[in-house]
Amino acid sequence: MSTRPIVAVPPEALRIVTFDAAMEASIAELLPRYPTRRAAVLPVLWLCQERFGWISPGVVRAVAARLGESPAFVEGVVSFYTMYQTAPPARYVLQVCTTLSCAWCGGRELVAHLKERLGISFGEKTPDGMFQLVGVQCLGACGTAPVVQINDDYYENLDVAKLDAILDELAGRS
Amino acid sequence: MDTVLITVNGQPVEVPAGLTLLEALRRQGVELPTLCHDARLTPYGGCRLCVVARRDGRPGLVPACSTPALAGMKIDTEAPEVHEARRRQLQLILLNHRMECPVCERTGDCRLQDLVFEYGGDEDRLPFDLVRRPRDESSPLIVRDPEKCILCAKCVRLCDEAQGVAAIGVVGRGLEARVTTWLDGPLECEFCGQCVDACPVAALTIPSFASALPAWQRTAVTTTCSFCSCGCELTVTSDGGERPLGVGATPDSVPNHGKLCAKGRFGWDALRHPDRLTRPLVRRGGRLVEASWDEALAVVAAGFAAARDRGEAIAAVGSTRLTTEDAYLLQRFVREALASPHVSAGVDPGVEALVAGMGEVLGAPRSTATIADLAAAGTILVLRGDPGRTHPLVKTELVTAARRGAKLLLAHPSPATLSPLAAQHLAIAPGRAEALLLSALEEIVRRRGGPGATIERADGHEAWRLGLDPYRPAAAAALVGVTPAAIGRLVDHLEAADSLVITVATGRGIPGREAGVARRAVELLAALGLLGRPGSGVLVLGEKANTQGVVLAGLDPRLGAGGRPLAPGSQPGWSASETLARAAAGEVGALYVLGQDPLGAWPAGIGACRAVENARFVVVQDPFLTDTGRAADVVLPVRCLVERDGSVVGADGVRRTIRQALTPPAGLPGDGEVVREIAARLGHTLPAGADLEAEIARACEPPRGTSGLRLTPPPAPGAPPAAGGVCLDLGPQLFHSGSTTLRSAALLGLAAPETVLLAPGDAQRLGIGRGDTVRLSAGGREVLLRAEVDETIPLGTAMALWGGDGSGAGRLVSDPARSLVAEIGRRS
Ligand code: SF4
Ligand code: SF4
Ligand code: SF4
Ligand code: FES
Ligand code: FES
Repeated sequence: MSTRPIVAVPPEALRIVTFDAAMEASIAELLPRYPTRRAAVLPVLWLCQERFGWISPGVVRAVAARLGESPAFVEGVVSFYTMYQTAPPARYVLQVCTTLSCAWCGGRELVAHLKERLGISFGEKTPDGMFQLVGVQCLGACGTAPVVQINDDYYENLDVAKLDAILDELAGRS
Repeated sequence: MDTVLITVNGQPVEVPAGLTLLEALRRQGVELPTLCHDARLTPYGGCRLCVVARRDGRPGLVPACSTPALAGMKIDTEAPEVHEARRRQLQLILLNHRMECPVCERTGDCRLQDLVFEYGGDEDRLPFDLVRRPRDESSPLIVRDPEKCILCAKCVRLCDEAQGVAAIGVVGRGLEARVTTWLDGPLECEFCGQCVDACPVAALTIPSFASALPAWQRTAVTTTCSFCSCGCELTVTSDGGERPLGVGATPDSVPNHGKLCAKGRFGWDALRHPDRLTRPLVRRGGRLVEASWDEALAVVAAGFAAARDRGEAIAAVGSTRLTTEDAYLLQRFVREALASPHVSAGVDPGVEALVAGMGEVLGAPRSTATIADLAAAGTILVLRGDPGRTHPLVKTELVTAARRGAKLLLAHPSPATLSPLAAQHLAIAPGRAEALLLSALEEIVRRRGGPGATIERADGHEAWRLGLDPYRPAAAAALVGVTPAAIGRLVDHLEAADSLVITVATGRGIPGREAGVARRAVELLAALGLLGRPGSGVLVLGEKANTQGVVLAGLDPRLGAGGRPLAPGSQPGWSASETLARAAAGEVGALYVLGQDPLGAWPAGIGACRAVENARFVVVQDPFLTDTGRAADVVLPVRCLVERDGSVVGADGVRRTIRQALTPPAGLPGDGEVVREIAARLGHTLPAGADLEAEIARACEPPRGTSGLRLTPPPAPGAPPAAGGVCLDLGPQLFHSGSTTLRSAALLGLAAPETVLLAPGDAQRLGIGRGDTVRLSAGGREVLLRAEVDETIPLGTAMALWGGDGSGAGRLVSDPARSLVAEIGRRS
């Protein structure tokens, strides 16, 4: 597995956002797939998160302007969905499933181990900005429990040793 | 109509197909409790108060507001489990609601309070600590109390769906969810107050309406708004007429469906401005001193009689803020008692668009489309002015139209509030709407190889056709300020239209000849074969409340009552500007000015100063002491429209009743009563009561049949404005529309009418920053304005927002028909 790290653009650089040609091209490609511009708010935000790592207020304003919406409306959308990051995330966001199947198959141990190894709790980032821990509900992969999603990739059938190896690799690679 | 059969509480009923259960039940007279439902909005299903039980095999409770009524459904609306569900739902809402009814400002007028009273839910409150959130008092005029909010999201959805602003949103989810502005800043919005009106509880309130008087002791009067010509129905709640304690509109009000704008909602404090007069003033020994009504009227009657007996000209200048009845009485008084043809409604672009525009081309000075037509039109062409600033109700109707799929075509120098919704926005040069229409006409006629049957039937169509030649898009595009291709695209849209409404906004200062625009708009419909087709037409939006009504009342030197031609043999009287020119030349013996302030408010080029000086006898009749009043011989104070009974005719041609909603100070009379009294003193009796009503009703009747089309040859194209200065677009500002709003502290608090928007490039070139005071000069006059830099303004143009009536850049206008090129510089 080669999970790509998130490279979050620092807040200072995302205060005023203008979309470059590449971004405009992706948006233009996306729009015809939706019946209204409003329906494209979610995917355009997603494009932005892929590009900038997170959704700053400046990004909200730019998306709103591009789609003819108000910033308050776009902010409402962003704040409703947990998968939009509203602060610069760590390089690797670990979403640990805390729902039943995973919990019974060793998920609880994973959570305890992660908290201890990284020295952080749910919702926090390590001081070096490498890892961020998020407790989530069922990731829909119960058959291969326990599951941790790191950035866009699923890591399944985990135990503490496997997880350590993954974290070592990710930490070393950076 | 398709119907479906459903069973409601054991009774089979047939209801139209395609309704929600709630709508179907309401039509059967079965009421359900709701908190988040609003018939104007898409169903939300948020509060769960409207639940009903299904008895058709599908178990469970469904929210009636968001469940379609389908054939065979069996519904129980009053089962014990339904009541229990409502009680529990209320219990959950109260969990996070600061319940304090006895001291709450909405007590007695609160949906939640009513429902809790009916269903219970407060007796066994669940143990839970309220999520504490402070009251937000950071916005002008509107206060938010999040601890009272029940998250029905009506405010958010109205602001978005009906108003098209979306200044507020529901941010966060679960217990975190709250209604707020972007980044929790103060409201930056249109201050229409729709959100406050819709809020079922005390989460949104207007502190200036706060009062200790309980809801059940207030009086409510429903009348028609007197600010602009949209004709919104509104209800003023007050303490017996003294002070407004609430201004609202019900969702079923016509034509506004509950919508109002900041002026209609908040502008009424102007009526208690210190300039408000309570006693007549008469000039004695060079000074204006208070006098009794009897003295003042005697002086006026004697002055008019003297001028009449000396054979001097007498002229009256009225206003488009008179009631239809008062306007009718005034013109009869001047024409009959004073035997003078010189009576007008002032310098009013709306009157010009109707009389010189629609009247010239179609024979009747009226719009041919209504505001209601916007709801069904396939294509809407929006000309002159941004309705988002000039006619707020029309803007909201256009938002709704665009969202349902209507094609909006905007021609406006800078992006308007509606631009994001427009199919095409033509950023024309200021004042070039008529040239744009002529260009489009040329293109259509050329594409089709002829102007079509309607135009070919009209006299002079060859000359008209020839006059179009210089407007060929390739040649005229530079003058219009857009590319030939853009005009081509506009014509593509127009040719594809099966119904087309063209709105022509009018407002003092909007550059360009409004009458020409109205005429070309009619010609355009004719060329497209849409003239006279139901659902298509031209909607002239007058600036003031009764533009259409005073025209129909005959308050115009060119027309009689009903917009009919003058009696054969009688010569048209002087227009308002000619009246002032004659007065300046010393040719006027008596000048009677009603509801106008030529000195303080009219374009400087008209020369009101010398006119008032050189007229021998000047009477001003106005609610306020104006500049003209200060220079007059007699000043007669009168009621404002909201203190008046009578009628106004909206832009859509509908005559609407106005009722006294607030009490005038010192028992002041209305304009018509004063006119009638002066007439009586001159020995003339004006019609009253049923006679008067019959005459007005006849004047306001829709015309029978249409006369043919009268073509006016296009004017030779003007030259594009000289380079150098910036081309100035003057736009009314949403929060202001002249003498009344400029006296409202509430509205002045929202926006100072002294702002100019500059393109970033021009600002940089001139070394001007945001907030700087800049000097604008044109034609030897100069004003100081506050600069704003706005990236939507095209280079080389500037948009001056003004409040109407002699404020801001309006003072630079000498001839509204000509584009204004102004020099801009930093204040030295
Ligand atoms: S908002 Fe309504 S229910 Fe709540 S405290 Fe006020 S009156 Fe009572
Ligand atoms: S006042 Fe009008 S524009 Fe402002 S938030 Fe309320 S609904 Fe929206
Ligand atoms: S502020 Fe009022 S209208 Fe808006 S969501 Fe809350 S309770 Fe509903
Ligand atoms: S319970 Fe963890 S993936 Fe479903
Ligand atoms: S009215 Fe149906 S859920 Fe609120």
